[in-house]
Amino acid sequence: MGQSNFPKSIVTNAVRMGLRNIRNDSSRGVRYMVDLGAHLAKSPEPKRFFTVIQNIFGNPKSVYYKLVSDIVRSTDAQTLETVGINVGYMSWACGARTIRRIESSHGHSIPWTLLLDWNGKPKNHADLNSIVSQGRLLGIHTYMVFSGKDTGNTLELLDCFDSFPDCAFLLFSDSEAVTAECAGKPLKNVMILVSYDQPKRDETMKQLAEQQRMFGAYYVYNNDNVEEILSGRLLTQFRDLGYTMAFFVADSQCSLLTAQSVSQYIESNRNAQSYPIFLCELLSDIDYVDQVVSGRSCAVQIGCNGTIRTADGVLYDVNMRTHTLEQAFALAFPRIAPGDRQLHSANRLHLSGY
Amino acid sequence: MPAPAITKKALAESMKELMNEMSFEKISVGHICEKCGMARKSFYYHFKDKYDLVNWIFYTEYISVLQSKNYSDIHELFQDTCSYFFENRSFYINAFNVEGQNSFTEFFSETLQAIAYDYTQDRIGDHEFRDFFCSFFTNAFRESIVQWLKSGAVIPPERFASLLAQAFSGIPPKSSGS
Repeated sequence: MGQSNFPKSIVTNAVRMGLRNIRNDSSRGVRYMVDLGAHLAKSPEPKRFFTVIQNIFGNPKSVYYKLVSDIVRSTDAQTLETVGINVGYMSWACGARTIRRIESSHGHSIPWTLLLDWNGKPKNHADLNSIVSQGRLLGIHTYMVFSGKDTGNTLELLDCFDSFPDCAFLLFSDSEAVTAECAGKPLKNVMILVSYDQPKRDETMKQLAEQQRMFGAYYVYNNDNVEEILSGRLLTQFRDLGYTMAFFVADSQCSLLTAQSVSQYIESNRNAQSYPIFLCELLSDIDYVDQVVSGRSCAVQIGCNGTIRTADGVLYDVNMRTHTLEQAFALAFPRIAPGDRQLHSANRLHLSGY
Repeated sequence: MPAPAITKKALAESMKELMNEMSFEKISVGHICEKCGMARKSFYYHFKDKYDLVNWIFYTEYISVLQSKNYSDIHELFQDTCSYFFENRSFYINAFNVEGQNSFTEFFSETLQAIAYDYTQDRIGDHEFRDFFCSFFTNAFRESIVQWLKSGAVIPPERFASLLAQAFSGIPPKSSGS
């Protein structure tokens, strides 16, 4: 039996009971879970994070009570438990410890999550297996995978995810690729995000809801359509459609200024608790966790052809087909002096394919 | 410390003191609140009932013990579990006196069951009698702990944990010379 599995099984049991409590008595159950998380958080940053969450739920009228209750009641319990444990415990607790240990001994940073662009060609799902297998050993237990509109690809990816039960996968997919067969796959470690700007969107969402999948919408934005977000029109539509989770993804043409304004807008809406929707600006929220875990930004996107892209652009000297993940990170994120941090955090990853 | 943590800690301390003074069944939410000067409303804001509070105490303390270590095998877990129960024996002797729905006995069993499923995963996977083995492990371990505590915990925790580990890994056969 591997290390730390006993605490994991006990925490899993606590989460299972917590979710049961939320189903029976949502407000107290939610507070109980948040307080348990706060108690288990040992380092200052996670403690601060949980204090913020505790303050949110200190307001008995918070719209987030409804949000949590809606998610818990509409989602398969085991999926919610598995994704929650794999992100919250395996990634942010155990994984972060592994990352910090390796960072201090190997002299380079490791991202807490990987963005995998599995939308292009040529793609080999064995490569994805290899990346995740290597990532797990480095403490990476959460993966954001972009699959595009190819149904066959999406199905194959779901089969890959099944091989890593202690990892969470956020699958960003076009609505047409998420067929009834995909929606019907009983995978417990996957959250499916469906592109909002797609004709079959509502039908896909309905299928996922019927199967009690953990799912949400994602919206790709740039300088041209950002007003849809900043005007509040989009969030109002999301609310009216009953969405519980919404992710915002800047495309490769989006300026840093636009991305920053969306990030601030999302953050202010989260803090103001304006909508009963879990809101996430993908790259800035990934960056926030990287800062907590590694003290610096280290977002990285890996293409299905093995290319590696960081905030500073494509790493032409490294490819996942010829190098290991660790070699890539050693090159991309060497240890930096505290004064140099601004150099790294001033840039932002541009996702290819979007 | 954030307000919820302060309130919960005060209620937990109050409960722990009361568990040394009277039986669990006689303790009321009123007693708990009176001892720490909290309103009943504060209690019910955080906990459903006194069972819920006992379970919270166990979870937060026990997980804190476990979190500080990386376990390479189940024997170390036995050691820490027995030591934890030994240090808090008067509290848990009282808690184990209650059985049935929502009781600590049931709650502890669920926790053990989760450990048993993890432990057996690598060993027997989806064996057709896995449920039987997990149930046996859960009941045997829980009852052993309860009997040990109730009989005064005469055997030191380290020794008791070793005996449990030995029982679970198989009692060695009598050697031909003995």
